[in-house]
Amino acid sequence: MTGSRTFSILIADDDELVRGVLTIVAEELSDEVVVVEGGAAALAKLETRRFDVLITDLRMPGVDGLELTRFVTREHPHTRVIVVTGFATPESERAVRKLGAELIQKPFGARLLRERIQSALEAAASFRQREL
Amino acid sequence: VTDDELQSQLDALTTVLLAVARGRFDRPAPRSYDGSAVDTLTFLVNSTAEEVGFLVAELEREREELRKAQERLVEAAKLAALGELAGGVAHELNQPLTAIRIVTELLEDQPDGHPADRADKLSLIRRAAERMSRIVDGVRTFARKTSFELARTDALRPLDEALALFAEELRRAGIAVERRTPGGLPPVLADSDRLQQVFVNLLANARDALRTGTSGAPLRISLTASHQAEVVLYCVDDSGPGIRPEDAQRIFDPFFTTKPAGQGSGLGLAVSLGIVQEHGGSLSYEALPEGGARFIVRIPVARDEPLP
Repeated sequence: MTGSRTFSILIADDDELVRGVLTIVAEELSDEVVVVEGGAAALAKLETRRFDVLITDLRMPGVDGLELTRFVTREHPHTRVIVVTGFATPESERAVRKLGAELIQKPFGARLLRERIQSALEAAASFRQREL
Repeated sequence: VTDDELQSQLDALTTVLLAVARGRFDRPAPRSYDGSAVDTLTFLVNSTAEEVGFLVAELEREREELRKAQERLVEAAKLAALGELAGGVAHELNQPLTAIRIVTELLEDQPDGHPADRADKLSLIRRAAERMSRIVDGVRTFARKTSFELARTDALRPLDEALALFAEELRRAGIAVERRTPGGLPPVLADSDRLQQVFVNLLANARDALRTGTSGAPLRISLTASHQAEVVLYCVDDSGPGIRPEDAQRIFDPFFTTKPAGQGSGLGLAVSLGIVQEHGGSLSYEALPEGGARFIVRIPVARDEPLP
């Protein structure tokens, strides 16, 4: 997917290790990957600019992934959201899906993540085409 | 009815009432059925004793049911804690496990990657594996049922030994320690090493709370100990931001942590609570009016046992 290289990805995860590996995979697919340590920092980024894809952890101190997803679906409907989680309750899982976000349960490998990011980027690409 | 007969019937009634007082309800007094006032009284006393007997039996049955229900509740609480523990472990292990799976697949997909890049990825896997080991160690500590060696212990020893481990680090971090511990505290009945572990956990939490350094308030940990009735009461206070009310109810839950991921196991307070309860004491949290956190440890005073 060559077109995706101009698309931007925002990653929010409070776990340094997970953040690192998510970034490696995202950077394979986009030249513009911005990484932040939590929900509040992600909100601050989203105040100033738009992203095509947001990858966020669900459980984070302060502003959590669900709150972030709610904000993004409301304020940035064009942004595709991928929520990654190690332990989702059925309620939070339902809430994430209801907002139209993708949910990936940890542990997952690079191939699955790559595939999900790619579909999100494709959705973002078709959104942009419609916008033109 | 002669006076003697009346006396013997009243004696019989007294015997019934004394039996009732001792919990025997099946000893009715003999009746004369002569329509006398004393016979009516005997009838009333006998039937009342019988009725009380039924009520007592009923009460005992209900008490037994209540006891069984309480046992089931305790079991349910244990199961709930186990579920909580399992969920927490799953979440904690999933983070490094995800890192390992992602990096492994990346290495598989690029078998001829640059050596430096491969080394970086391998180091990520090693770090993730080390973190998993730490989690497993934490669970082991949490689950371990070590026998407690309760002994008459100088009340300040566990606190001072814990403080000694931290003194240098706290000094370097610019955290002032105030220790207000009066002399003449009675010895406590404690396992000194385990109680020391409690204070280590509380001091580590206080240090971490101060590290988040929010306001410009001076960084301070206050330790106090006092003797109150049958316990020695220890307070570990910090001048940090305190605990959010919505978090305060969960701080003793295993794996609950407000520390950044990878830095807190979420087991410190859960383990500490377990240790303190094994001492027959208590551990509680209070928000300080000026904004910091206060943890209160109560440990029973040692009685009579000679010093080892």
